[in-house]
Amino acid sequence: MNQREFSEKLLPMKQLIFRYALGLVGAREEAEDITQDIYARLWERRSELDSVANLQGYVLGSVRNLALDRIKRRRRFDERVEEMRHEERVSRQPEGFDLKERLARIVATLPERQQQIFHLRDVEGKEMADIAATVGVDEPTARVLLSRARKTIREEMQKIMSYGV
Amino acid sequence: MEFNLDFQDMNVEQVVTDHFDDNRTTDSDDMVVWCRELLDKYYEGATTPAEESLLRRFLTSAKNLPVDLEAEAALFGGVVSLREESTDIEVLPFKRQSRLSQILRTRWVSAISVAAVACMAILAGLNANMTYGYINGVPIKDGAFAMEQMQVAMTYVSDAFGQMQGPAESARESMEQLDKVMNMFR
Repeated sequence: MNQREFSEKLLPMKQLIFRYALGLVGAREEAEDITQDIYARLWERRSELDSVANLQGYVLGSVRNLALDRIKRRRRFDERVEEMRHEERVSRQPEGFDLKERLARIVATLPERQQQIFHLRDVEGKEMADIAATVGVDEPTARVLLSRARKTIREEMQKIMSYGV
Repeated sequence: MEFNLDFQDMNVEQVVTDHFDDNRTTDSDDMVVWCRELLDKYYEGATTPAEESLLRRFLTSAKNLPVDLEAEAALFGGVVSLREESTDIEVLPFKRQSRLSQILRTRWVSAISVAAVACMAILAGLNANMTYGYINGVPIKDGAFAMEQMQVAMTYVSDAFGQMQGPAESARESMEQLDKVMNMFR
């Protein structure tokens, strides 16, 4: 993939990459770091990208891996969930509590395809047919995975909301 | 009840009134009933984008929601918050320094190091067995080779000055003067 192809095919994904990363890590600066790192890595691997059939799926997979690596490296996830629950116990709705961050903590626990489908549908507003193609499943399967993702998020939200009651 | 209208440009209350289809005034209880019905569809992955848009608008703006819808309000609040995010960071990796230029720069550093040691050694009149420096871990003992490396390094430096500051005649002149000095010690 040359520079022109890289610009045409990958640069338009910037906001998608950023929001997907933000949806996983919940922190804007970290999501921006991931976005820049992803582009640097993709550029380094540009010679391999021509053989990638599903570029958007490949990119989202790379974003997820990088985001989860960061979460693991910082051993942050479990600590943050516990911290969040503690906060909820202390105060039902702490001032300045970030809904994005709360959602990100839950989404990060979903299986990869559910993460991608939830993000592409609920955040990016993509059509199910396009989402199914990106994730590499048929449309009914994509709807089933979307349903599971949403239900899991609801259950986890309800658990969080139940603390402090 | 099923409804698959395009609600994009309608307000939520009007949609709910239409949904119940009996000309009654929509009150908050009706809206909650409507919301729950639509949420069932949402959790089955069966809502249209327009219906999801209505849910987002309703759940993030409605006041006095029932307690059992707080989780949904938080879910849609997070989604809305994410949807509004964007970044203006620079992501043009090919504008950054290429790997080739990184290697070249590393070679400059090696060459300049060799050259510096060579200059000191020659000026100090040390013998030919000394190690002038290392390139990729290989010791440089040949004074002429070290000198050559120094000149190459100076060329790079001169070119770099040329790129950064235009003609950089002064840098080239400095190199020529240095070359003359070196010739005195050959």
